[in-house]
Amino acid sequence: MNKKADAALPLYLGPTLAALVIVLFIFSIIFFVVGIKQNPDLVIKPAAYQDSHNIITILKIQKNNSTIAELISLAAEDKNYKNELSSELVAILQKLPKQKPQEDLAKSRFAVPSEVKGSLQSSEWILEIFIENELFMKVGEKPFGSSEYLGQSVVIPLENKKLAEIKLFLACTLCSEGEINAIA
Amino acid sequence: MNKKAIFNAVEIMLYVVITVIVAVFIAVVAVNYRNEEISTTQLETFILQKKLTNSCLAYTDSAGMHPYLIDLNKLTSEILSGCYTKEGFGYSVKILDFDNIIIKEASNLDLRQRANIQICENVPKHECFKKRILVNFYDNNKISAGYMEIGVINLVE
Repeated sequence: MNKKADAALPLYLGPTLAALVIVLFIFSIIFFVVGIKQNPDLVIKPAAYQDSHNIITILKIQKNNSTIAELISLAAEDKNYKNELSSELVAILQKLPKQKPQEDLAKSRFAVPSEVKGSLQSSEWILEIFIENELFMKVGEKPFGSSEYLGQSVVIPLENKKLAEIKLFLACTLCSEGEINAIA
Repeated sequence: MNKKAIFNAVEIMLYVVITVIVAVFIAVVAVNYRNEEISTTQLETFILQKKLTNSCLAYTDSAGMHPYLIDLNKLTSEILSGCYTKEGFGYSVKILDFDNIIIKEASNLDLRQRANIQICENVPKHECFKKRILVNFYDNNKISAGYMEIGVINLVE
């Protein structure tokens, strides 16, 4: 190191050390205070690997000696079966597992953010039947501001040679990824 | 020692101290990463559920295997242990009707797991997870709808 460099070292040392301290301070806050370490998401999310098991099971449920799939075929031909199909589907969708109900905010002593969020959660399974791409029936009402999760669909042939596409999804407001993965 | 030598020694010390501080910081972060807990119980339950419903407990006839149609005759501890067994991982399977009445149940639990699964929250190094799915089940030539509930206890180190 020459004389010039010797003289310059104290000049740059202060700002360089200050920059280092600032960087370490910021990273310390990020890693140790905020707690950003590894991504909290699951390594492999069950929701990403879910199949159409709910909808296949629903279509195979037997009611009055015919399955729901057969009832869809009958309802497509004869409108008298439509109400029966609708009421059966409403009853079945209510039995499908949803995310665990959160605690009632009114019973809580402290309104912590997680409980406030939990009290605003609502979810509904929605089933739509399309025959030749036209909406034939929709069961369930989407809660306000909900997003769609766990979408499943199957196509079944009807007796009148047409195709029916049945779509099922969970419409959920403020559902977390963990809750969705738990019911996938 | 002349002035230049003293200056160089201080400079080297300074660099060493800075290097040590940065190295320690990186080491602490790395150790934190290494010790980060990754829970796989939920995922393992998902895989178990798929194996049970699509293979081990699925009803089979001349047409083939029917996924998500559970054959109640297959719901035994022997079949469960042959289906999925892992050290430290135990589970029970219940078939319930829509009124939550248990139709049949079986488990792949050792004695300790059987006791611990009841009080899982208070058992250290254990994780529990319960999952319920909609299934059809075949019993006495009749197909009915209901739930399959899988309760899992997993030893986490």
